[in-house]
Amino acid sequence: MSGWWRRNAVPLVATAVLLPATFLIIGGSEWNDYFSGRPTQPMTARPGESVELNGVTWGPASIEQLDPPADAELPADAVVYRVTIEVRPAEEAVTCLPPSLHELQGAQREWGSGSYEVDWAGGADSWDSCPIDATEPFTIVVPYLVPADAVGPFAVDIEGVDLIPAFPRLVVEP
Amino acid sequence: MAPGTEEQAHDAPERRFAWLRAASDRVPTRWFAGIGTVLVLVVTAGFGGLAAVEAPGPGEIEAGDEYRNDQYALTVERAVLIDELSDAGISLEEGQRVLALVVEAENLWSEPLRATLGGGLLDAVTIDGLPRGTSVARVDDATYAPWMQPGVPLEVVITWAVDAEEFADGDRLTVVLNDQSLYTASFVSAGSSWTDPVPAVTLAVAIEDVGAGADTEEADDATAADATAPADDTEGAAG
Amino acid sequence: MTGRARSARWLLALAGCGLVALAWVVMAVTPSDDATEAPFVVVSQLGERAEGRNIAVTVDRVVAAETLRDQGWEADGDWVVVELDIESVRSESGVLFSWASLQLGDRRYQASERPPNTIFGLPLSTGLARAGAIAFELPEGTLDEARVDGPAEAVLSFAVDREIRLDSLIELTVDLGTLESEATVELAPEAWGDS
Repeated sequence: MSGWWRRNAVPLVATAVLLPATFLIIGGSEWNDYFSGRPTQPMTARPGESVELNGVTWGPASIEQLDPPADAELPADAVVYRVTIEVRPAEEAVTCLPPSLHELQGAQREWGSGSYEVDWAGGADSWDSCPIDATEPFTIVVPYLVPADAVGPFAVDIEGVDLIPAFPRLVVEP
Repeated sequence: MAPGTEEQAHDAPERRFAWLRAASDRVPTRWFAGIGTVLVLVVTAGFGGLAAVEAPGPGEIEAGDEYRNDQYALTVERAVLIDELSDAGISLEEGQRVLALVVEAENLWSEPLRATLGGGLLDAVTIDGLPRGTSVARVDDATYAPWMQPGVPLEVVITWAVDAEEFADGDRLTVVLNDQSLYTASFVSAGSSWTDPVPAVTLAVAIEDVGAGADTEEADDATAADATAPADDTEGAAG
Repeated sequence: MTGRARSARWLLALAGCGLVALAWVVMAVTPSDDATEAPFVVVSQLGERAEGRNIAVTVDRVVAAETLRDQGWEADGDWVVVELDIESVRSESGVLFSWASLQLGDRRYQASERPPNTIFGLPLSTGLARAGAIAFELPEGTLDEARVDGPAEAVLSFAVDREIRLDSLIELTVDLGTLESEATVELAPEAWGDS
């Protein structure tokens, strides 16, 4: 028996190495595709600071709580925040989706742009995402409708097709 | 079996089953094959022997007759040629008109089915010589791409965009009603869906040309209220 | 045959029976293949808030109706109208009220898309409940039959995706036989609810 093991030592060792390696490489490549195809790597900027990504300067961002107008139909336990983000593009136009607001503590809940529910809270003629073909500096103004028990600091995550898998995460504190 | 010690050890059981052996020895095993062959031939002869049998083609019914299979009860009521029917979710190109079948349908399965998805009415009701239909809408409130709840019948209009000259008033269409099979996914996929439409019955319907569509004004009225009906276009069959 | 051999044989037989019994128990308690991907069911009561991974539902009222009305739209039938408050718990991007089901016997009905103001299929907000109604259209005679023949338990279930496997599913059981009933029900308009 030991003669057989010794005679086949090389193929045996090769099998023991190559078999797991096959699974690791194929699986690793699939996971790599998965993680590189979506926003998984935050580039965090602290309050008042900005972050540079793809030559574009994202931030600084600020947040303010708004008093709703008297005729606004809002749930009793909600507050409205308005986030303002400065963006300075490089030579090429930049694209992005409406940013989302995240709780950094507690349940880490997430909210999307409330520009439909609280349309009065956006800035006059401003965008809640990157304007099309923007090469000049611009400002993103996006309202959020958030339950009153959500407390800052919040993170504003900006997702863009050209940025993936990285994304700017701007921390704001009301 | 060698005589000697073994025979002694199994003496008692052997004697007990001796009658069985004696009986089985008398069975004419040699004739079994022959008897079997004769039996098979006699029985098959009763069903037409070994002659080639023609596969049964789709049967024929008439417009207004109900056809039932495991999935649907379907009644094709009439065929209509109309200038346009945008409420039914069909858009036309230049020189096209709408060919529409009015069908009473009931989902006989246990899960809701969407008329326009795979396994829906567009696969169950086809017209000979035409591609799969374009859209389905309810007749009563013009809900587009309706869901069919189990056991709840509904009247729908199934539409095709056709060249204006292709059909005329009085032309006879051959409508095909298809049987589909329930496929239950396994291993890495899951859920049940209806697939593989196979023609089951055909029926001939004469086309009625209603011109600009005065005939469907009632349906048009109901539409305005329902234009915003939600319709999620997520994946099909029940999970 | 010695006593010891006999007792050993008995012991073996006993052990054999024990193993068979054990095998039977293992087979009986083995979960089905579906169980490995079954939804996580949260059982709820009328008027009580039930919370899952990304869905929280409070069913306020379940009522049977012969005619359902929603602004200009109207339809006769065997309707079961469910008034509820619903919100998402963790995130709201792309989160819709996509699954609302009524299981009665082996049949499953989906909330009707016909009434224009149903909240079935609408987007949810994190931590802020939307109040509204959904309606189920059942085969004609189902409700009468339930009233005459006694208990007809229907299971309502709610989720945020049409793919319900391995995610939270809020369930509520109602008896269609003893359901509050009205000739005509006007579908409650969608509004902000109580979280």
